[in-house]
Formats: sequence, structure tokens, C-alpha cells
Amino acid sequence: MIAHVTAVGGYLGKQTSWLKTRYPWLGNLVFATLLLAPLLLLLGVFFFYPLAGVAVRSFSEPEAGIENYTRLYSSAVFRDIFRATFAIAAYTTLVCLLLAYPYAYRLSTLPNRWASFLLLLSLVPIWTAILARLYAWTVILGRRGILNDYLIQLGLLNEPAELLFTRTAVMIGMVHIMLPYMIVVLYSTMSTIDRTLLAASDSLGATGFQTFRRVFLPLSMPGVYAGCLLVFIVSLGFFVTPAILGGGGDITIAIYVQREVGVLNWGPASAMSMVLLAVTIVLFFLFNKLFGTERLFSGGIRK
Amino acid sequence: MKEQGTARAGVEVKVVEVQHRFGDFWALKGASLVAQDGEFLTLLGPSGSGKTSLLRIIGGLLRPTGGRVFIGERDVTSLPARKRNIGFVFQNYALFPHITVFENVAFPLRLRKLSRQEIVAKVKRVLELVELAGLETRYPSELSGGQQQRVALARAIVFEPTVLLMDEPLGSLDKRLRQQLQIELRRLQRELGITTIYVTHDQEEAFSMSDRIAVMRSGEIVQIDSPAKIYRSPADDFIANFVGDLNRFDGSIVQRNASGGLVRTTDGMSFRIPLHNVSGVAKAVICGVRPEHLRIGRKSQVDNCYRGTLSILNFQGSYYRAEINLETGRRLLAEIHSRTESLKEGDEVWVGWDSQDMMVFE
Repeated sequence: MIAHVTAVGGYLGKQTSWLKTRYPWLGNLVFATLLLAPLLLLLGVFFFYPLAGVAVRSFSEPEAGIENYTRLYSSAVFRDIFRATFAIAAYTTLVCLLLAYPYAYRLSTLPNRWASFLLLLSLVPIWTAILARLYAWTVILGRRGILNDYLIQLGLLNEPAELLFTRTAVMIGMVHIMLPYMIVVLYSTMSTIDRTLLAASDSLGATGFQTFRRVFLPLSMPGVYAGCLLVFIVSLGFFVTPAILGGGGDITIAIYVQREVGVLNWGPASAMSMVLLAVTIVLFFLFNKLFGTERLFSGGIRK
Repeated sequence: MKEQGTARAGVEVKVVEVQHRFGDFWALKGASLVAQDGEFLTLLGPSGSGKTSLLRIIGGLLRPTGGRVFIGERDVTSLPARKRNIGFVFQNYALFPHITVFENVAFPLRLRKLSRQEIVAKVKRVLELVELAGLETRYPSELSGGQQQRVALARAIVFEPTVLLMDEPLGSLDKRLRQQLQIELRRLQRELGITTIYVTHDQEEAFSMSDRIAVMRSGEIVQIDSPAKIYRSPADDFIANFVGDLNRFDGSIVQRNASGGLVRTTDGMSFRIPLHNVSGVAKAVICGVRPEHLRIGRKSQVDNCYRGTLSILNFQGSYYRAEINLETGRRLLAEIHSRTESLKEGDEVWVGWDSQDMMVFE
């Protein structure tokens, strides 16, 4: 397969030899493009084309102009939607980080065999259907649910608390879904931290906590940033979890888009989607700008 | 450097019957040694001989299964590394990649809560000592291997430890740089007077730097002596072979008298040996003679002499390496330092050695 592609690349390379003498990188470009072609084609047809449709609709429906966007900007309703969406995503990210960091840290200190096993355990939720998990939470958190039953039986509550259909419920569900991703990203960074650095810190006079704060923590920060970015961005677009566990209490961007599309209000739905996309792109850009430089974290030893 | 106030007295390091086990594997089977105040002691051995484990135990990075470690008068066996005040230079340098050269070297000083001025002054002084002044703001990844090595050394001595431990610190550098740094390290160690224990598997490195060498094999220290003694009178054939090239003969003593003995080898050679360290007749012995002790010529000049063909003659710069095929089929390795006769490959030669140069092991 590879050989075939190379042959085709070589053939094209020959055909364009006059170009290659002027632009030596062109041959490589042709070859690289051939390797990327299947994916680019797939993305083009099933992602970029529809996305362009969404972009066009956000400016053209119900009538041409930027009215969909000015309404997003000026309306208090939309402000609440944005605020709720970002707050939920931010808190979910924070809780995931606080839960995942100690777990991943512990994993990174274990022998490989144990670390892989415990990592596998933490991934089990990913392989369970998302709806099954969410409905399980409705059973646990409901008015007559398991948790309320226990709390009343233990005498801690006199009457059932409102747990389901709150922002807390939404966040419990989202943390449950996003936690494995955070753990994996953190662990993969932490496991590359050279243990000799920790021994060196020890020999230079640092206590365990000082070694953590001055060596391990800074070296794990790329993983923290990457994990937070991943969880935050995915959380921004969550639909099913707030829909089921939130019970309509908080309207997030995704829920709003779904409702508008439900009544064929394509224009506002498209505009909202484009804003969400823009925010995501800006976040990625900022991340690259701030933490994309490899220099600080390349392991210290020049090959 | 003494007048700048970096001089300090080293202390004695004593290791008593230290054992270490990884699972079923005994990495150390009871090693004892004393490194004297200000001494440069090298642990020399092949990989897996336990030298790094022993160094880590002395440094407090590994807890021994048994035995005791003393620094000065103090039993530090259960003391964590951070309280031992020992400088440790790691094989891959273990520089912190996320902070600058200055911060790397200042790291142990910050932990000791020194004032800003003191830190700046000490870092500056130690960087001058290792000839890295001006590179303070670089990150480790922006340095060459040799520079990284110097930063690691600076970081290990800046807090004025009484003992310096180094685990193959020159292992990943090219030969020329390694030789240069060997000399620098040795000079620095003498100036600081710091007790140093150095791990290497390179016998040339061990010879050129050490006051004494402890040769290790499969978890045990088999000989501790000066480099010259280790080379000239190794305790056994393993050491003899490890610290230099050796022509080795397996045989037994067939005859002995006041002036020496006669050995017959398994492949039918016989030669005379000095008797000072061999007792008994008909005893299986291993004999060895170093390549530089072989004499090659057109005729016999020495005690033990054989006819052979000069099969390989390699120019090495200051000397030649030669391989001689004896009529018995045995091949001997020789070094020729003076070329009085114009020999060439294929020549029929006499090869021999003084019986005094023969090493004999029981």
C-alpha cells in the first residue's frame, strides 16, 4: 500500500520535475497530499461542506444580514445561555482536574503493570453507552431515587432533596463522562516525566512535597493544560447530559440549537453554532500560542 | 579556589556489608569499603555488577536490604537522601528541563533558604569554576552534552556537600571530550578536597582519575587497590581480563623449584612462571601475560619463547598492535612500542616474555 502510494508520488514527482527544480519542496508536498487525501475527502464532504452551509444560513435566514449575530450579542436570554454553558463547562473541567490529578499522579508512580490495569479500570465508563449511564444517574438522583432513600433512612433528611434536574446533577453526569479523558491525558504526560529528576531533587535536599511542587507539578503542566482544553471544549458542546439530567433548568448552547432546529429556525441556530465554533478555535489558538512551544518541555537533553 | 572559600574538608565514607535484593536477584551480596577523606574512589565493573546500586545506596536513593552506611562518624543507613548533604551526578545529568541553568544550580540553595545575594554569588562562583559563566539564562535543552555535564556537576557541588557521588557522568560524551573532562573533574576534585565515589565501566577512565579502584563483579567487591596495583597484580583472572587485554593460558603446574615453576597448558605449551604466589604441584592454574609484555623479534631473547607468524600488524599511532599465530594454533596479542626491526605481516617471528611478567591465578 505504502509502496504503491510512493510509486504514484514518484510518478507525479517526475511529471513535475521542472517545477521541482524551482520549488524543491513540491515533490514532498504532492506525496504528503496523497497520504492525506482520503481523510481530507471525508472531512470535506461530510464536515466542511455542511459547515459551510451552516455558516451561510447564519447570515441568510430568515433574511440576509448579520441580524442573527446582533441579536445574540444584545439579548439577555442569550447572555444567560452563554453564561450557563461556560459555567458548566468550566466547573466540569475544574472538578475533573481535581479528581483526575491525584489519581493520575498515583498511577504514574506505580509499576507499569499496575498502572495499565488501573488506567484500564478508569476507562470502563467510556465503553458504557452514554444514555445508560445518564438514566442510571436519574435513578440514583431522582426524588424517589436511591440516594434520597438512603439519606432519609439515615435520618439526614426529612424529605427528599431536589437533586435531579439541577445544575449539580448536570455536572455530576458530565464529570462522570469526561473524567476518563482527563485521566488519560494527565497520565500520558506524567508517565513521560523522568524519574531521575525526582531522585535528583531528593538528593539536592528537597522534601517529597518540594519535589512535587518544584519539579513534578511544573513538568506535568502541559498535560494539565491539554486535559483542561479537551474537557472544556467538549463540555461546551454537551447536549444529551444537560438535556436529561438538567431537565430544562439550564439552557446550554447545544440545547438552544437543538430547540431552534426543532422549530426550523435555522438562522439563529446556525449563528449560535458558529459562535461556539469560533470560541473553540480561539481557545485552540490561545493554547498553541501559550503552551505549544516544545522547548520548555522537551526533556532537557538534546539528541 | 581555596582562597575563594569553596574549599571544604571531605569526610570518610564507610560501607559495611551492604546487601541489596531486587525480587529474587541479589544486586549486592555484601559489599564493604571505606573511602577516605578527600579520596577519589572508583567503583569499576561490568554492567549488572551492582556498582550503581551501591552508589545509590550511599546516596540514599536506594534503601539497602541489609548492611550499614556511615558518612563520617554518622550512621546514615536510614537517613533520606535529602538529609545526607551529598552531591549526586546522574548518568543522564537529570537537569530540570523547565528551568534555566541558573535556576538548576540555584535549586539546592533555594531549598536551603539562602538569601538572594548569597544564591547569586554562589551560583556565579560555581559556574565560573566549571567554566560556564554566561550561560545562566539558557535552558538545559539549549546546551551541548559537555555543558549539560558541567551544569550537573555545578549543581551537585554548589551547596558544598562533603561527599560527591557520580554515576558514569561522562558515559554519553565522545572520547575527546571525555578525556578532557576526566582531567578537569580530577583537578576540581583535588581543589575541593571532596570525598568522591565514581562509577564507571571504563577501565581507562578509572585508571586516569582514581586514587583507588574497587573492582566489582556480580554484587561483590573483588579487589580494592591503587590503579597500578589493580593493573599489575590483579586478584584474579577476571580482573586481569577486565582492566586490560590479556593473553590467557589454562594449564597446571608440573614442576617447581626454588627459582620458579613450570606450567604445561591444556594445548601443550610449557613455560616458566615466578613462584611467589603459587603453592603446590599439579595444581590447575590460569596464567596471563599482557600484550605490552610480549617481545617480538627474529630470534629468541627471553625466558619463554615460541615461533609463530605475524598475522596482523595494526598501526595505532604511538604503537602497533600485533597478532601472532603460534605453531600450536594459539593466537597471541602483542603491543609493539619500539620498532627496532622492520617487521611486516606474514613474517616468521619469535615471540616471548619474561617469566617475571607472567600473572598466575589459582
